[in-house]
Amino acid sequence: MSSLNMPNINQVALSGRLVQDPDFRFVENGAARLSGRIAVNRSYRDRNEEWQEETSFFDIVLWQKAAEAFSQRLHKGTPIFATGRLQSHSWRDSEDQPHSRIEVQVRNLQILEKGQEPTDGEEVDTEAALQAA
Amino acid sequence: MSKGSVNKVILIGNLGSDPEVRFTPSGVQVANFSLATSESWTDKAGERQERAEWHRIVLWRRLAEVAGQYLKKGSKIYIEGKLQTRSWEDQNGQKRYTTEVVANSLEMLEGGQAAVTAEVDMAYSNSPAGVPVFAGVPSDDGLPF
Repeated sequence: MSSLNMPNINQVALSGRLVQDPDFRFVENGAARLSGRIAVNRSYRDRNEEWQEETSFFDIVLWQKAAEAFSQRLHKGTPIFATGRLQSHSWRDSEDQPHSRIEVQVRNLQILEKGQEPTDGEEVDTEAALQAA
Repeated sequence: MSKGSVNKVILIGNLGSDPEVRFTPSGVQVANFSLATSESWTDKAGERQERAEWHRIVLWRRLAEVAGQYLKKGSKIYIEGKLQTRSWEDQNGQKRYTTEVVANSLEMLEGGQAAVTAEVDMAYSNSPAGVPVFAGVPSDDGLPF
């Protein structure tokens, strides 16, 4: 079979709760940036058929209008559903040790508060996010 | 199964290295490699820009075996999995974190033809950060069991 010419794809979807109030700031080039960390729980049955819960933490980033719009609406404990792309970020600390961290560059975000009607989410300007990054 | 939470990653890209396949002390097969997803966009000046993003991929058991048998540097693949963070200690006893994609589905899209390998080599040299920094990750470091 001749293969399809597949593009590169980098997509991620996560649901979880913010573990602290997100950080809103303007970076050097003037772009608005909202960053936070979410806890994502996973439940699974272990070998003894007992339910276990495991929590992972991931960093999320929003830029520009989306960052400003959500800066007032996201707080510690806010449940969200976010889709976007994975981006790694490397730096050296004060002792010249290399560090690398994976962030989710959010393209679409929904707040999952109980009692709120689900919406279609809010689109984030990806081009702006790419340029600002 | 998992109750009411979503953690899903979908990637299509090229392997930046041959898979490293080994067995855990308990005899479970595991494979690791880096995967490049390149993306391009037009900047404010109308210039076409391209950047490669690097991902750490982990496969277990049967998928690890398949990876070891059929994948090599340059192979183009589709994977579906979840994002996972694990901690380990560096040589100075500092706690460090690594975020990886644990794949639970794998499709081979193309073999590792010369053209594909060449593209990946280009991705390496075009990547602003150069070769991805996974330095300090011991090759036989903390597996989850």
